[in-house]
Amino acid sequence: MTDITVVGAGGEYMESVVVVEWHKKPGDMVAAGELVVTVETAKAATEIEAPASGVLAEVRAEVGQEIEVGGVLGVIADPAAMAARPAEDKPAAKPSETAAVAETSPVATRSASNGRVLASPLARRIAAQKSIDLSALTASSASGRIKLRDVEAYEARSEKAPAAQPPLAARPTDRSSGDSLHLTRRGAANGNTLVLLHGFGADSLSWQPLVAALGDSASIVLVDLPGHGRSAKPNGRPSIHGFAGNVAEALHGQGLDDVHLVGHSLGGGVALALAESGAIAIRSLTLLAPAGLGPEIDGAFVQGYARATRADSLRPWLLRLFADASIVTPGFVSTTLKARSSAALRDAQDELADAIFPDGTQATEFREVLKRLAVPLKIIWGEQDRIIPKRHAMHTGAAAALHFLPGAGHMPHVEDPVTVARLILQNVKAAL
Amino acid sequence: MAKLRYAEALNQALREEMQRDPSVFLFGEDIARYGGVFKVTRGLMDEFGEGRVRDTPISEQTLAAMAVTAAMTGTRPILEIMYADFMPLVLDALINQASIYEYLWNDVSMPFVLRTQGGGGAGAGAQHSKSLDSLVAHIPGLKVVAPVTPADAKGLLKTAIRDSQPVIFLEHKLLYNLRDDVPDDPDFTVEIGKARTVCEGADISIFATSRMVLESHKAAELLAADGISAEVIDLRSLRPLDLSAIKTSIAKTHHAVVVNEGWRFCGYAAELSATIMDHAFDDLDGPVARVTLPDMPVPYSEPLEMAVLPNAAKIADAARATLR
Repeated sequence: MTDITVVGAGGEYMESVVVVEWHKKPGDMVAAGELVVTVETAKAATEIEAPASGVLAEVRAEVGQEIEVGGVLGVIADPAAMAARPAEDKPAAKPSETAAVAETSPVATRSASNGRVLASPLARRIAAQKSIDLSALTASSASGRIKLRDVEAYEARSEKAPAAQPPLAARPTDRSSGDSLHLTRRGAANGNTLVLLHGFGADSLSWQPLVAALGDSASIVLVDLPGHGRSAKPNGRPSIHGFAGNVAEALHGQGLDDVHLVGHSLGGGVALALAESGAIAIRSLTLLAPAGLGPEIDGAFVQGYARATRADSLRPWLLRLFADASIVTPGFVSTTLKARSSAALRDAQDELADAIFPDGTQATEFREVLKRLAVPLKIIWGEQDRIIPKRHAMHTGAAAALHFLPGAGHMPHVEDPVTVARLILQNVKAAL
Repeated sequence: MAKLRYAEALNQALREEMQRDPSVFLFGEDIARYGGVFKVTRGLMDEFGEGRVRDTPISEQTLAAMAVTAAMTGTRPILEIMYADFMPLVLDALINQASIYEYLWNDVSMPFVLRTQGGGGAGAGAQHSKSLDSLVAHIPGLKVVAPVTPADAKGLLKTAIRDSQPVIFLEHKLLYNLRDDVPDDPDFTVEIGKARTVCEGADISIFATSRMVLESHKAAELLAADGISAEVIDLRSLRPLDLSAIKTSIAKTHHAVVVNEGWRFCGYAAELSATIMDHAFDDLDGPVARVTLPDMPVPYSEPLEMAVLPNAAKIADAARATLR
């Protein structure tokens, strides 16, 4: 038996909380770390996770009830023990449910031992790509392991009821919308704020491996640039400076005016434009294969990628992004294709490509801006980048640290997220 | 295209290659006058003479040393070891000579083929039923093939004879009477290192070697009755392995069963399983299942022998378990 207690809620000024919602009912199986109950303080809602795996045996604080910090909200029991108890002792579990619980108990115990969710490597990879939190899923198979079908079922449910279960973030409080752009919050609740700006044709999800590598080392804000991911297409003719204005506005809307910036490719150009504008105080700047440091770019890639509507036409362009072709599995291609299934999004990006990279050329240049910046600067480039030449990093005249990553192409944050995370955090630390 | 038995297809390959290249010759126990215990070399002594088809005493160590030295000095010997169970007697020649001379001395090539047959299911007892695939597949510098169909038997043997590296050619005693279409074109060969898709499927990939390919095909039929669509891949070449075929199939089905008639611990199936995890981990939606002989001698008693050998029912069970 393990008590679910009010911990970590309320903060130092609060003595009690109010139960807002139980996410499990008595008799339900819960896994350690799974969300069981939401409580509210004067300031915010706090989600309380199961301290152990087992069956939710008892709910002691009903919705609306006030309870002291440290008090017991409910009890999680060992399923085997539950099954052994006489029927009248089991509050809400019908006899048939009890039998099922007893049968699956070894499975629950396995996932409980260290609190890690059991999932197949494929389910883990697809969930990470789609930013689905595995602990929000339930395994449908006797093995107790979350499989691809469970991720797909979760996604299908989420698509049907987007309000009830947002597909792209497990915890609704993680998400917020700027005035015009879609922002996603990840990582630590406080600390240094890292704002990540993705590249052309990508979206917030492309940061997933890096976000995982960064863990709780910073508070992370993922921005969907205009015409990308879940942000609307820009009004008027798109430009890098216009995008920087949109990003500044969205960050201001969240009260963020003092941040560490990370930009990849087009997002690197936007980061430089943002630095130039002075609209936001930038503590450090890390650029990954950034746009804006020279005229060359693979124009065929930009156009071909933006227009691809089928796996056959998308795959060759995806292969050009990475040094290691094995990253581009059929699953990766179909996931990318799915994210780009909207014709409106593709048209917007095609238009954007024409405005920002006319005739396959980088029309906007920021070398002078980079030279003037006095914050810690890092430029990271994959040795095998085939989209923007790495030599753009060499002659900027800026006091920037250069890092060339062997074995990486144009996507160092996907191909070597651990190294990129380490370098970003070094840059953040240098600013303190 | 003629329908030939597996043993006849091998015989045809030997005959064609001996006609094509006068440096090809055969030797082994009872292969000349008697035509081989499985009749693979029947008629060849009469056609090519005692000089090119030689009976030898029972001394596998000597035979292996003969193969190495004959290959080094400009001929293409084909040695038959009657039972794979006696492969340990030739391992020194394979491990310390055949597989490394080309590495030690640049101007040496080692074009010989060692044919042998293994496997259980014939009531041949613990000393004549083993599958020691992993013993030879373990050695860098050797190629190891194990054809299942008569056509592959012919095509792979011809390729093996023409290869400049030593090739270990693994046959199975229960395959010799298998009859199927075999191309009669003397230029027909099968590339070493390419797997063969036996049947396509969407839910699970079964990678099998030698006779276990036939059992896996039967398992696919059992699974189809349950609505499970299994893809069966005949690896054909144990080393080099067709990684691309393995990765492509798993990218489609996300589940794998590996089947080999040898022992489980440190066996060929263990190698396959680890290779899949090295190259396709993120495509796996379930654990890789292994179906092998248990770690014990093959019993002589028929019911006991049938109980321990891998078969279609065990393969289907393993597939269902990994799909759970």
